[in-house]
Amino acid sequence: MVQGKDFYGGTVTDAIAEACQQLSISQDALDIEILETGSSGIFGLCRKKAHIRVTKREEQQDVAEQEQAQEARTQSGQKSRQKTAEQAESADPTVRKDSGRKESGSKEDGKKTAPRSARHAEADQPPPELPSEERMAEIQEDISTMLELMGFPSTVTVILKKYTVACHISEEYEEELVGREGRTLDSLQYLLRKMTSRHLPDRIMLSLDVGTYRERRAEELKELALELAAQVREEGKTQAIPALNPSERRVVHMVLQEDKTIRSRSVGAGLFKKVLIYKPGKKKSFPRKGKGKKGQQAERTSES
Amino acid sequence: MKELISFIAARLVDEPAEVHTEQHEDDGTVTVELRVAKDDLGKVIGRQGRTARAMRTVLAAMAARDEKRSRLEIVE
Repeated sequence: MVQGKDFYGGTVTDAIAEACQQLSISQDALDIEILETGSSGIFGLCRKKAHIRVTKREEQQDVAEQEQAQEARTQSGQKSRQKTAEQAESADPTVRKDSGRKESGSKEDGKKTAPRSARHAEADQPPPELPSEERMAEIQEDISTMLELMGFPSTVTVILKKYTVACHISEEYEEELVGREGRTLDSLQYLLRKMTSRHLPDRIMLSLDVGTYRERRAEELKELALELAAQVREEGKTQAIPALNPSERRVVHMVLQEDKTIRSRSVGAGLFKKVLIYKPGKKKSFPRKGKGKKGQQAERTSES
Repeated sequence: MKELISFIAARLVDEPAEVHTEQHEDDGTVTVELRVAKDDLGKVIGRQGRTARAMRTVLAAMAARDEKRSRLEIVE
């Protein structure tokens, strides 16, 4: 530990500057304790000087830093040594190359292997275990019971579409079960997922539809997206579709993906975000414009 | 209406036996009170209250059939 030294100055800043100069050290390396802030007094009378006490931080900190750095170095050294050892088994020339650029080499390798192994895992994953017939029957039973309790008795069919348990409710109470903007149906689907997830094998998904709602909604969105895209292309103004859930946003992005003259992206937080459709190269202005368009847009959406 | 909430909640929690619901109606508003085991509270509320919100939406759809309003109270 270095002992604290006292410095005085007209202001604290002056005192610090003085300290730095005298010790020829940067302010970062000093622990500064302010004992008095000083005051300019009245009309130059009763002037108090700022009083600070500084302690050199340099040594302890530097030691710690050096230790850390050294540790890091030895670690990466070890890594690259391990690497070289591994590679030495396979091919000799790579060893020289690798040891030549030790650190960067090992870092790069680390970065590269991670995503690669992830991709491998995905590709190598065996197809998920499928839910049993009994499980599917139980899900069907659950939905029927819920609908009955709600007072909307309907016919429920549950089939397996690839890795998705696709549940379908007959159309008698479609309007009630869909709700405004599909909120009720999405809530039911969400609850159903929660209720069944622990009984379903991993990576098996669940979808819930009533009548032909999902299909119709997707078609509507596609049409709206294309319509707005055409408008954007013509007028250059950013357009927005408000409050879409993830799967609805997906539909919009997918249908607009092909068109290189316009772009789409989601903005906002939470489950429901709005999708902006804009011409590329307008990035700076669109958040404001998007907002300004909102009201107008809502009208347009409800019209269609 | 409480039967529906009981049914859903029982499937969400670890201790279905601890699920209790009560229901009372006042001036066209049906209030369902839901009680679950302490450790299951999080399960019926969900992250950011999403599960609770979903249950409320479903309850509201059911109440709308009788032109009523609904409330779901999760009692600690």
